[in-house]
Amino acid sequence: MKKKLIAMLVCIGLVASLFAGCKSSSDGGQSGNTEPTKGASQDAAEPTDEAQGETPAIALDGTWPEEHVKIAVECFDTTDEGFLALQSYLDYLTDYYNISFIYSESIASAEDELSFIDSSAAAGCKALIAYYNVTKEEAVKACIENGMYYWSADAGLAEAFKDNEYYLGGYSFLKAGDDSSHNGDYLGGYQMGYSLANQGAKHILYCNGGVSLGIQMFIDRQQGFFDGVAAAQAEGSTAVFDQKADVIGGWPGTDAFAAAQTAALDKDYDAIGVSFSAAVWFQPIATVGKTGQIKLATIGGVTDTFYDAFQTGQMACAVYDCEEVVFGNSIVTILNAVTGNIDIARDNGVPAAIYVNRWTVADADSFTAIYNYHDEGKYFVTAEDMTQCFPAFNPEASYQTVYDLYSALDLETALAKIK
Amino acid sequence: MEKTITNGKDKVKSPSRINTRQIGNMAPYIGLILVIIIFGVLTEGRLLTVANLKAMSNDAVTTGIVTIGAVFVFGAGYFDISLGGSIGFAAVLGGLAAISTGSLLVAFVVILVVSIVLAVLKGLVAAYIKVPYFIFTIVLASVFSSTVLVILGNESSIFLKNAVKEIPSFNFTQMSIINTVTLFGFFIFGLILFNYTTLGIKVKMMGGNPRAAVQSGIDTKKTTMKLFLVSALGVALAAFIILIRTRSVGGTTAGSMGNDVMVALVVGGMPLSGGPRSKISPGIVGAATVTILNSGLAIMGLTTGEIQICRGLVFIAVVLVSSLSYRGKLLPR
Repeated sequence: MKKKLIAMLVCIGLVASLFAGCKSSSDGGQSGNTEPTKGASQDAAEPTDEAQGETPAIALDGTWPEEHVKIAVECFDTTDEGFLALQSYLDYLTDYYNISFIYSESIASAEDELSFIDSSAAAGCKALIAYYNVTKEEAVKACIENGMYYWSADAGLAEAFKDNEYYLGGYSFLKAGDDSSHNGDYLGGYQMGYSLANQGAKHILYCNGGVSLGIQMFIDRQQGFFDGVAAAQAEGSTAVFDQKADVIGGWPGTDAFAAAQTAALDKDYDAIGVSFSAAVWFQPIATVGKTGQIKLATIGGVTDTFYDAFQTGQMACAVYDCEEVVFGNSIVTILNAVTGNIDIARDNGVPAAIYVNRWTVADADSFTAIYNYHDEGKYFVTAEDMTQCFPAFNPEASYQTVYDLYSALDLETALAKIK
Repeated sequence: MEKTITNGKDKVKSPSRINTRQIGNMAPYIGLILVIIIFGVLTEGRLLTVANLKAMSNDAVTTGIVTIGAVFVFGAGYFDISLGGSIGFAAVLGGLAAISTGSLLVAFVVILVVSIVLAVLKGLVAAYIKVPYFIFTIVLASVFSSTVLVILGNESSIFLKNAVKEIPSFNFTQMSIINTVTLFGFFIFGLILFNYTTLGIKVKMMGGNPRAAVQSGIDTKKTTMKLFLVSALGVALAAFIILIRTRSVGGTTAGSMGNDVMVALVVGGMPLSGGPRSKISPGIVGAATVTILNSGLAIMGLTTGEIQICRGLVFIAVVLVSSLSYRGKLLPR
């Protein structure tokens, strides 16, 4: 009885496996494709031919590209507000382009990351948007082995994979020729420090997050913050800030951080710069009755968390990476790559580095305007705006078209767009 | 009709009771086959492509190897939640050795030695110090992760690319071969040890009733040390494979391994309390089921919430079916 039952189940399993395997091979075995140029060059013919004629009338109704494009998105925290905002934008694009997305769970380790990449490849994803990267080069290699394009913001990877067309590059907070030490994190810190000191702060505190752990992002933000305060002081700000005494490290959720918060709130600080989400200060400030007396600056999104804080005057500034600008260009780059327009996806054969602006939102009106704009389901880069970057819609499209579209969107332009 | 004799009286087993027990024993295999069939169909065959089979072998191997070793520890009634911490600790020290020497061999030796030292430490506590072992491993896991952070200092992760000389890397196919050979090699080792030597019998007896095991003449202290050493081998192999596959280790390395092993054990049909029902197969069956389930759900493109719900439902179903065969045998409490 036992043996018969096992045999029967095993047979069913094997038949189903064989049946499933046959079907999969008829799909072309895309997940197993590891030849860098094959996919891209084969797909290249169609759009190029179209581009040579008149502008084709292609409907923006979710039918282009002709072949469905599935894209994997890797994130570190599925509940992160910035990631959720990006997810909303990407979902909006699925109504207009023939694309869909697979999102990772919160990636906690190198093993999780490589596992997600492999699963995405098996699911038929043609590209990965690395909203997060644990293993650095290994993640890119895994994508290349699986025949997936890799889009990332990690400029440190560009040199290693500059000759591999599966590495698409990403955005950059620096223009060509800018001081490379003044990266996006440095600039974010700088803008926070400058804004606080420039808005009349008398005594500033800075929360440096993971500096003691040697996390480069926080080191850069801290240096930027120091320089930002110094720049404002040089312009006449009387803000007091000591780079040792007025800095606290660590993370929320630890006893040490809670103690440091309590001690800080006993002092006369009227401005706090936070290298992560400043939301951790709302409750402690309210508890000691200093709501409205202390201004906060944060690196964070235009989200519900900070909406009320801006309305009540608790926020001095939010350094904001607008999702459709900073990360949205990944879709343009990836769609160009998978439709055979790799010359538009990359910059003259090297990985893309599309300059984008970090927006320093320093007043409630601007914050509210951006918040409401998104809340109404509107975006600063619409699906229609993106068509100018695709030869199928615009035969003149080039890498420069993509670069110009995204790099032009600074805060001022965005606010003008709202009006 | 099958008969058994209990307390001198003939007791007839009903056919339905036999079926329930048999189904319970086979539940892990049925679960594995069902998961293969269901997700094979739902993913339109993508689950079973060669590329994904290789990918799944990469995912299953570390959980599988650690679970095989853990069968000996859990089987004897030692609930060890520090396995992930042990792997992370050994992998980080091995990674540092690799970076400073440029040699994978040195890295492996360091990982093996560290794993053995940790196993001896755990074994000594389990055998000689009468504290609740589960509590001890909770603390130990925390100590391991904290020590790793201290060792790493200003780095969140270390990368083999920074070694003094280039360390060979393995491509997808090579890793799949290494994984498969290691997993099945260790499985056969564990199978022989557990099923065909006295160590397996001793483990089951200790897990079933430690006092009875002592009175049966088993040297429980010596046996405890031995079974932790077997587990250490699994930890070392898993740590080394993680190191050469990811080429980076850090504070989060193998962080979820402790939970994964427990899930694999349960899904593989072994009670976490150990005892006579302990078996070596969960290392393969449980790890494979969990990996296929995760891969299938990911390929289907479900949201994070949907994946967690599906995973939970499958685990509950497998555990319920597995428990059919032993629920009625529990002593009254």
